[in-house]
Formats: sequence, C-alpha cells, structure tokens
Amino acid sequence: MPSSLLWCLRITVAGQCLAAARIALAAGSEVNGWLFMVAGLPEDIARLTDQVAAGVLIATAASALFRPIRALLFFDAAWMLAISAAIFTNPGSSMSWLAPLAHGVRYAAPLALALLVTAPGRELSSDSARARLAVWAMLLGAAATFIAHGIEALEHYGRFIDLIIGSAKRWLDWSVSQDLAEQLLTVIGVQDLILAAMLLSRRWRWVAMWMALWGLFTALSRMTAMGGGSWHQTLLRSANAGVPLALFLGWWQLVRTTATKPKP
Amino acid sequence: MISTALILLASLAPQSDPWTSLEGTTPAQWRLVWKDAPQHKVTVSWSTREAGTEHIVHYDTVSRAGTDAPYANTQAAQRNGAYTLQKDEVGVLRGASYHHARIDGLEPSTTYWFQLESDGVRSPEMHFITAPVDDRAFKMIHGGDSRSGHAARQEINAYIGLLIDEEPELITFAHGGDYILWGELWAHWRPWLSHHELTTSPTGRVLPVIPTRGNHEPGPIFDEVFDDPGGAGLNYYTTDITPEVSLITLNSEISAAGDQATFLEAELKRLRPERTWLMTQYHRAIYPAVKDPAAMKPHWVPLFEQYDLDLALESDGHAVKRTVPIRDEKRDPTGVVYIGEGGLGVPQRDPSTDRWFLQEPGMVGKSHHIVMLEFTKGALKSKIIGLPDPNESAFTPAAHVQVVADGATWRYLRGADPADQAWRGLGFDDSSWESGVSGFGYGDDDDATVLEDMQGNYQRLYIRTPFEMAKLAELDEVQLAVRYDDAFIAYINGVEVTRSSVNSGSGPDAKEVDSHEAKGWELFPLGTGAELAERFGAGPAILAVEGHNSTLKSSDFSLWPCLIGPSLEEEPGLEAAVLLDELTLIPRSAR
Repeated sequence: MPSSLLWCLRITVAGQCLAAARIALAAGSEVNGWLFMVAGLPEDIARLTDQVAAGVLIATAASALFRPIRALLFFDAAWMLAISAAIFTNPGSSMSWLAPLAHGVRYAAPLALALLVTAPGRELSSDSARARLAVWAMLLGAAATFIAHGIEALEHYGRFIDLIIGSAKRWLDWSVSQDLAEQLLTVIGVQDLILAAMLLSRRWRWVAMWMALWGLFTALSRMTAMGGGSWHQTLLRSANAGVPLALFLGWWQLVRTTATKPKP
Repeated sequence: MISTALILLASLAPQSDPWTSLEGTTPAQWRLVWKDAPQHKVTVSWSTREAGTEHIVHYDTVSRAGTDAPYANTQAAQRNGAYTLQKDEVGVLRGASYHHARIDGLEPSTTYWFQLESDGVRSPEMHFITAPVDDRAFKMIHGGDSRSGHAARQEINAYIGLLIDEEPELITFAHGGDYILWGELWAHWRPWLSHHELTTSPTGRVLPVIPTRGNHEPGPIFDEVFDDPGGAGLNYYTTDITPEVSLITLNSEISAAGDQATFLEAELKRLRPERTWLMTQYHRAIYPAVKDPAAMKPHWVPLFEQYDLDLALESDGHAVKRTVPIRDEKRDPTGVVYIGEGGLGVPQRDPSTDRWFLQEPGMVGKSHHIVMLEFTKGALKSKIIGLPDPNESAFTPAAHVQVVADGATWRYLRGADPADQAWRGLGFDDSSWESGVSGFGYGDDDDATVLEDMQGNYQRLYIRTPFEMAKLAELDEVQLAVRYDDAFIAYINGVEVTRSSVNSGSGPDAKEVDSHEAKGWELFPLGTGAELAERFGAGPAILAVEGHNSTLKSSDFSLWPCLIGPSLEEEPGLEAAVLLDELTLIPRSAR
C-alpha cells in the first residue's frame, strides 16, 4: 500500500474535518438547521449536536494525522452524509437537489481511509476486498462530485459565475463579463462530465491527476474569489482534490490491480 | 384585536377561514406589487380557482361600495395563466390561475378604491395609496422570512392589517424573501397567498409589496405571483418611492458579481446625487447575526460603501439585528447600516451576539419583527417592532371555552380492536369499556391514565366520551386540541372530523402511521359551532378518538384530546408590539 496514498487521504480528511468543525461551531451546520427548522427540536439541542459533532470532527482530524481510528473516520463520513441529506431535504438553493452527488468525495475520503488503514505493523493486501471497496468508494465519489459540478456549471449556477468573475478581478484585475463567465462554465461543465465518464470507463491515470488539479483549483477559487476569510470553504473541499489525487498516487498498486477492467 | 381583524376579514368571505376560499372564479389571494414609478403604476394581482375568461380591475378615486355607481376606470388583466404545478402535484392538488392587471396613469399620493372581477364575480372593495412626488412624510415596513411558523405568519399579517389603519402614512411593504419553504411547490405558495390576504386592513386598505426573491423561492412561481419584478428570473430592480427615496431590490440567488453588480453600480451612481435616502434590500445577510456572511459580500459591499448607501435591509438569519455603521470592515459613522434579518413567522434562532458589528450602538436579539422606516424632512427613523410569537405563549385548554375538558373522563378500549365501526357513534354500549381520565399513554411521565401493558402488546387505543352539541352551537370556532404520540383519528357521531399521522385507513387497517412526538398541544380546527350543530344535530353527541403507535415497541404513547371553543383571553393586538430598537439618521449632506 503506497504511503503517499494514505497520507493524501489522511491530510484530506483532516482538512475537511477541521473546516466542518469550524462551520458547525461558528455558523451552524446544515444538520443544525434541519434539526431546528424541519424536526422542530429546540435550538439548544440543534446547537449541542453541532458542538458534539465539532468535537468529534476535531478529534478525527487529529486522529487522521497521527493515528487514524476507523470509528472516527466512519463518523466523518456519516456527518458529511447527514449534511448532504439535510441540504437535500431542507433545500436552500436551486442546486440543493445535487448535494448528495456533489458531496460524493466528502464521504469517499474518510470511508476509503477507514477501509485502508491497518493495525500498526500489518499490511493490507492491494487485492483484498477492503482495498477493492476503498477504490470503488473513491472512483464513485470523485465521479459523482464531478457530475454534480458539471451539471451546476452547465446550468450557469450563479455562485460559479461569481467565482470566475471574482477570481479574475482579484488576482488578475480582469473584468470578466457574465456572458464570458457563462461560456466558460459551459466548457467547464462539459469537461467535468467527460472527466467523470472517463474516470469510470477508461481508467486513465492522468484523468485522475487532472481531476485532482482541477479539484484543487476549484476549491482554491473560494479563497481567490472571496478572500482569505473563506479558508474553511476551501478546506471543506479538500477532498475535491484529495480523492482524485489518492487515486492517482495509488494507481499502480491499488486501482490498476483492483479495478474490474484495469487499463494500463 | 387581531381576532377582530380576522373576523372582519372573514365577513368579506363567507367561510370558516379568514381568507377568501379559492373556488370557481371568485377573486382571491389579492396583492398589489410596486416595481417602478409607484406614483403612477401598480400591478394588481389575484388568483382564481378556475381559469375564467374575463378578469378586470375596476378602480376610482372615490369609494363605490354600497352604491350602484360604476367605477370611473377599468383595466383588464394583461397577463393570465396557471400557476406551475410540479409533476407530483398534478392530480393531487387543485391548481389555480393568476391574473395581473398592470395599471398606469395613476395620480400620486391618491387613494384609489378598487374591486376585482373575474367572469362577473367581484371581490370586496379595497383601496390603496399611491406614492408621492414630493418630499412629504411617509412610512414603509420591511420584513422577511415567513416560510414556516404559519400560525405566527397569520398573526403577523393580521398585525400588519391593523397597523395599516393606524398609520395612514404607511404606503408600502418591502418583503425580504423566503415567503415559503420551497418555491417550486404550489402547495407552499397557495397558503402563503391566502395568508397574505390577512394584511388587508379592516377598512380594506392593501399595502403594495416590493418583493425580493429569497433562497427558498427557486422556480417560476415567484414570477407568477409577483409578475416578474425586475424581469423573469432576474428580479433586481429599483423602486423610486419618492423623489428623495429609492430602494434597490437585489437578488442574492443569482450571480452577484456579473450583470447584477453592473446594474447595482450604475443605479448607485445615478441615484446617489439625486436621492436623500438610498437603500437596498436583498435576502441573504452580508453582516449576519446568524450564519456566515453571504457570498455577495465582496461584490456588493465595496459598491455600497463607494456610493454611500444609507441602509441595507437583510433577511434570512431568523433573528433581529441592526449593525453599527460599517465601512472598510470597521465601525465608521459614515458607513452603511444593515438591518434585519427575518422575522415574519419563522422560528427565531439564537444569534451570535459577540460579532463586532452587532455591538452597541447596534443591537441583536431574537424576536418576530418588522422594520418600520419613517421618512420625514431631514430624518430617517428606523424602528424595529417586536411582535409576540404565538408558538411561545403557552397554550392551555383552560384559557378556552371547554366543551370536552382537559382531564375529562373517557371510556377506553385497550388491547383489542372494536368489532366494527359502531364504537365511533351514538348508540354504542360502551359500558364494558374501562373508564379513565385523559391523557392516556405511557413512557413520558405525563399521563393521567397510564397504559403500562401497551408497549410490545398492542398499538392502538380507542376512547370515547359524550358531550352536548348545544354547547358547541354558539361558539365561533371549535378546535380539537390534542397532545399525541404518534397518531390519531377523531370522530364526532361516527363521522371522521380530523386525523393526523395516519395516512390512510383506520383501526387495524390503518396504513402508514408516521412517528410523531407529543411536544405540546396541537390544534385542529373543526369549523364553527353552528356548522357542526347543523351537520351533527343539536342533541347529545359522542367524540371518539383512536390513537395509534407507529410501532409495537415504541418507547412512548400519548393520546390527550379535548374539544375547545374560542379563547377566553383577549388576543394580542397592536398593543402587544414592543419597540426593540430605534435609530435616527440625518441625511449625509447634513452630517
């Protein structure tokens, strides 16, 4: 098992956990909103849920970096799933219906790491069932995220338009028109869908690499468009880059040997 | 007083709801919309159940109510259509049609009396006041977020209705968005539109709305309701309320940095030299008391500050706040003040009270509220008016006329199902049933008759008690008040009158019993006493209720019903409102 793959997932999980904890503590998570607004629970309980989750997420981040604990990783995956479900069932934007797909990498990263970690001194065989499951979790998670973002881009989602215009203005002092941003989003949307399809069907290693770079770029766009105060929005999306990168790093030892139809 | 308003409104429409029923081509769900030039223009909008063919607004500068004299002017609706139904609403919900009559050529500062007509069926006469063309004093209100908390939404609307008659200078209502839970559903818009009728004052005055699109209103119905304010799907526009005051409505749900930012800059640049007061309204809060700052912040705030915006009206957070004046991310007396942020019915959140921009002389709290803006020569006064939350005032059956009282004695059957449906009605011999005091249940330490053997053994309980229908006949409103876990079906004289959490069937044939926690008394309106007496006769009667647990091993069960009439206490009215905050601004030119 390549240690680079494991470290990639460990850093990814730590990053997303810290960001999710920050959001839960400072602004309130979508789970908090669901408990209060949909389930009708007292706000104290909704807030306590956030606080407990934030505590566990911080512990998960520390654990991921120093000694991954499977139960905590499963909690991270479950929390990310709960957030998606909360957005889906208590929608707050026209794209909320895509949340379960768009967040695919956020469940995949902790799930894959939980499947791949072993007790100290033990090695996980790359063709074991757990390794195979981890690969599928990452492949499907990355594809789902790119499909959802592709649809959002093709729909010319307003937030994405603003990421392009804001980043160009802030870093290049370019005034990008909304019309041009929408044209770029059409290209980006098509690219995202093609990448997702190629990852699942063709299994080209450099597709994973490009997805990792693109995932990093789009995650960073939160900060490039809106400033350093949005660091947590970038960190929350660390799996957008981390999961495809983990696939790239583990390609020869893991993906190629465990995929049902490996391609060289 | 709110009850009075509701009854007055109800008198306009002969049914138990205090709004007009959507039936046939009866004009209902009326609203007025201001977009541009409110001195001369207004869009008069309404709904009908059937599409109809001829939809007209009659209007005049004098009242024609109670006379045969015709109105001086008419305007046929230029836009008619069916509200969009989602696929899963088709065949389940009855649709309705919208009608928009765009009236132009009105005189400023003038009261117009109007009546809606659809295929010969007329609404009550109502009236509104056009905006002024001079610098006379006027008032407007702002508020947002009425997507949940429907009881509170109705009370706040009724409060606004009362306020209109108290405040003749009040001319418009800027709505900050999140009217409903999900904007693609007619099922959600339909009650909002009916509840909006309650903002009509007891004398029939209607306040034109300047609408904002919120994050819960994606889809086409927003534009069908408000006639494309600012253009379909775009919904950003400027309303020049007077020559001194402009309100720029922005849309936080589309690109903020693109064409909308270009529009915003052009409008601010054009208007700033001409207006004493320049304001914006948009939904998501940029300086929030709850949540993180909205994503539009880096695109809009520099423009607000560059062009010396006076006030930004925000919603979305479900809290109440006024910031200190802000410029360059710090308190600055020349900065922009942000007020909001959403309290037209939604449950209020605990705000983040430690944020720097909410410290004194700013304020933050949680309360249903509206913002009253008073424009006079040389000053703009902002008042945040707190309104009581009906959900937070403890409901007790004892505060109402009780026909079947809280703690009444009932006959009950446990551990078996009745042989047939006769148990629900008169004439059934229940002498073999046990006798006990409500509430019935187990597992939550609040039951008067504890069913210790229920968990794991049986899922249903049947209870019945007699009452005198004559006691109901004189009551204006009759409700079943119930604390229940998980579900129930109620019958009067064998006829089902209401149910909750049982999706179909009854007794052992009940299907899809949902889980429901008994969090307090819940009210189920049954109509007026007169209607019930007419339906069931004026003699002895039986109230029968079957309670269901969603699972056999559920940890608790509650069935605690009573039959009540109107409140014995006076409903809160205008006097229940409290002033939460007051701010006086003087024009920038005079500072």
